[in-house]
Amino acid sequence: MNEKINIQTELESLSPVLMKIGNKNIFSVPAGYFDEVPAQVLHQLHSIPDVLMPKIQTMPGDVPAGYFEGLAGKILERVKNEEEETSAILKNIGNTNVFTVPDGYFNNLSTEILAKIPRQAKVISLHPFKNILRYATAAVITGLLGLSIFLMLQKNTNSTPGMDKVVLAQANKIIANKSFDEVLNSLSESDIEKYLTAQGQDVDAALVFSAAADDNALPGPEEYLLNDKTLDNVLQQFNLTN
Amino acid sequence: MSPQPDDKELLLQFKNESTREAAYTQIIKKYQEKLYWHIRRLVVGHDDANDVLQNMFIKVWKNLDNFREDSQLYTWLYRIATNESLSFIDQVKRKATTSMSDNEDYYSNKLKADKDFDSKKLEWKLQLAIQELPEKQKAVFNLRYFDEMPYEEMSKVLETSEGALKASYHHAVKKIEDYILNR
Repeated sequence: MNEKINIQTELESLSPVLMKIGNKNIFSVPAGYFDEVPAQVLHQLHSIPDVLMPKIQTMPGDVPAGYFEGLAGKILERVKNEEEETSAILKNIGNTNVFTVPDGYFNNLSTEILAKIPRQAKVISLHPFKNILRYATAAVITGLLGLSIFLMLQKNTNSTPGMDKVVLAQANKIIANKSFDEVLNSLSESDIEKYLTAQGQDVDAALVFSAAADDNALPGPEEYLLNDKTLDNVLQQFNLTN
Repeated sequence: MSPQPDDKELLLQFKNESTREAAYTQIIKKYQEKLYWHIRRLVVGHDDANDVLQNMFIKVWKNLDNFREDSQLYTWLYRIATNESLSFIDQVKRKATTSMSDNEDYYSNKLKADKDFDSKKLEWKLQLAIQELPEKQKAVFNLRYFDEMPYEEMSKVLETSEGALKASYHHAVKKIEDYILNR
């Protein structure tokens, strides 16, 4: 009731003209329309293919009899067929890495990169960084991939040309398991600070943004699913705060 | 009239396969009218509003398992309804090969085609004025003016700060007043 009074008082101060019009509904609907909506929606739902429906846990009995017994064989058969279809030339070439790097390249890479980046004395709390990660799913993925690679290169002195595959496999695992928060929490604040500092200008942008962001106003993961413009909107807001 | 079922109870029932459809039906019955009118004011025509309403409830079915109960079901539903309506309007715009002003005319013409339209009535002139607003501002104005929603809830629905919403609403009121007085 108080809110209604607030709205009326606000409107009266803004526009007595509008206040006088009132907010009476002038539209109409066909008779009995609302009685039929639930049935109409359910009817539509039943006509949607099951594959588009949310996954509800099913019991093993819900799949065709013998499905799992034959599954491995069918998959192997498909793999075999695909292999046979692969060009014989490509097969002969193989997938050996033809590129090389100077000896010890990966051992010193992170140090070299860090040496080229201007040092910025910054105090970065973990909390706003989490906000940024929550704020844009894409940024989370990029950030964690970058951070994983950064840490891996720092910690593995015996890096090999195949190291990027290992890092990517690890990153893919994080994406597949949706364990961004878990991974983030497992990292020390100093690792995150090092990484952020290594990103140069991004640190400034992130700090400005995290200071301006209202935690409660951040979109949750489902908003990204429901509206594909959410990320665009967020990024647009991000640009405005810079 | 029987009391409205509690949202938490409905959500619990939705998670149970045996009561899923019944709970979903209850959710539709509980919110359909408020959501319909919100959508209708944005997309204007009944058939379009009906399509958007049904599509949004289908999205609700698909995503209700992922609904985070730290926000209210009511604001979540309004958010989906708003996003669906704005996407619908966007699609209409994209289909039209004409300019933005023609798009505004499209909705004004739809209003004028309503069987109840009466150009002499201020209520209808108000609706014509609303069609002059940018889409998001239209949603801001409608939520405040017709749905009488507090800024705090609007902020959750539209994912915009309360300050920005107040500014947007105030601008909308001024534009509408200008339209009503000068056209």
